[in-house]
Amino acid sequence: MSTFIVNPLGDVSLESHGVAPRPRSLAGLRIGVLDNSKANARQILVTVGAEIAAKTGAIVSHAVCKPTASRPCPEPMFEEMLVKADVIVMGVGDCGSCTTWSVHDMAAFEDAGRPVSLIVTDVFKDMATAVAESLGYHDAPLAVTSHPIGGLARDELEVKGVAIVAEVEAGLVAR
Amino acid sequence: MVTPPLPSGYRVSELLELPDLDGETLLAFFDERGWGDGLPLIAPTPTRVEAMMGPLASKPNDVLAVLPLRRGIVTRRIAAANAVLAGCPNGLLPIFEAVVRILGGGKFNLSGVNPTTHPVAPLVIVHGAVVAEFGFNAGLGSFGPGSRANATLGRAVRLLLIHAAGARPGVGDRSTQGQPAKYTYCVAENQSGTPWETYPASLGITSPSAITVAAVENPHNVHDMESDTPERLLDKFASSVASLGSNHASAIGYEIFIALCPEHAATIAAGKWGRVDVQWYLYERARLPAAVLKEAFHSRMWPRWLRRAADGDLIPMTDRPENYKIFVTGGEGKHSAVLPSFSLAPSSVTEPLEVGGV
Repeated sequence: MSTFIVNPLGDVSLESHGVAPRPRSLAGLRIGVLDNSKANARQILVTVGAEIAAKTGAIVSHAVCKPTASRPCPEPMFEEMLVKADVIVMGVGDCGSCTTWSVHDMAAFEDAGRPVSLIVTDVFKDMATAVAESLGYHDAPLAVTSHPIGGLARDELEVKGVAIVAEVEAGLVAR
Repeated sequence: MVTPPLPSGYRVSELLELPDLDGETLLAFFDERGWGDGLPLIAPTPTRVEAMMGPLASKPNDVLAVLPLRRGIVTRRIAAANAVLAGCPNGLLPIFEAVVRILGGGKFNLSGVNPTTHPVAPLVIVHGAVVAEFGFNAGLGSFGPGSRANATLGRAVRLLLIHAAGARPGVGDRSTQGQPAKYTYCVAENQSGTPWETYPASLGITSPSAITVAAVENPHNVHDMESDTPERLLDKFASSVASLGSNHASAIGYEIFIALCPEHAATIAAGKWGRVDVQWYLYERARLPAAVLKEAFHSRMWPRWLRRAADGDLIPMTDRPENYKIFVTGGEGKHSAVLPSFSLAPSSVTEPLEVGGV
């Protein structure tokens, strides 16, 4: 006869959220840029922000950098972003804790009604998706670039930034 | 395979069916699912889990925590099942539960600790009367093998993180190289070897027992056989702390744990120095020139005061003396350790512990 053991995993606390409503286009909207402070994230974000603004008629209205990637966006920084931006581009998730907390930040902004497009590297895309799903977001708008970001030259970063502009924009507007 | 009747009090999803309880069968079962830590396990039969819960078995569904990233709900029964798997002796569960509550509480950054590429593991430090009562090793080899209480409590933490929190290597645990301390990481404070008030007492916690959970790296050895003054001894700790390879050099403001051996603690105390003197001395002496830090790191993670420093200014490796967390552990000999932490302070939580006969 077989025997039983106690399942050591336990149940999962499920939540379900929808992302914020998306605008039809970005024309005339204010883009906020949230740099998670990872090495070279700024270079990618500057390129993406400038390219999207030029392409769509949006403006980059606010750009800030978190004091550490491995913690949530500080409350004052979060509140200021809500005031100064209609949509938000953030990144870059290129490691475990920075990806996780970027997804948490994304969830908080989406809950507050701000569409977010989060840039992650391909190596950490699955983790970002898993964290988003654990928080109840099953259609998280991720823009994926190739790993790594750190240690690259400026021209390589510009190429990577330009390459994901369409994907970042697509995450911010209604499909 | 003939299925036996379901034990009373369980839902089907709470149980797993095995052909037998042979150790190799159990290990293979876990290995096939990516569960466990790769080492042999004790089968968490309902009988053993009930025994682990002891007098609290009447409340198996009390929720202790919800652990990220998987958002696993840790009930008393789930905690007990992992304690059995780890080989914990019956009776240890209330201490493990205290650890679980800290891990899942809002003060501990488990959402950062579990998935990070950094080689961090939650270190459990056991303080006070429960050390002797449950047989934790605070003396010789306290970070090492040989004590069932240390080994299994630390292992129960890891197994719970793998199972309930989903921190499987390569999935929810993305540590670049992993870490031996991720198998088990539990130590006890050597109270009799501490020339000052205990570590919890230094934080204002005066209960007979307490638990600290700290997000730190493995111990980095600090060897000193010669020094007969606090200054000469602590300069070696300062040298170990002021390392460009540590995360705490890249963003000033981390906790840094200092695990003093009793002989080093005695040398410091003989100079009439207290714990606060050690904290201030390390704050003053563990420094690097601003030019060196600017060359090594992007400065965007630095506070504004640091960005304005002149090249020759000596920059402290953390932004306040109290971020040096000083406790005593170990036995005879003159080897202590520095334990760098994972992220900006706070990286540790200390709570009173109300268990056992104390």
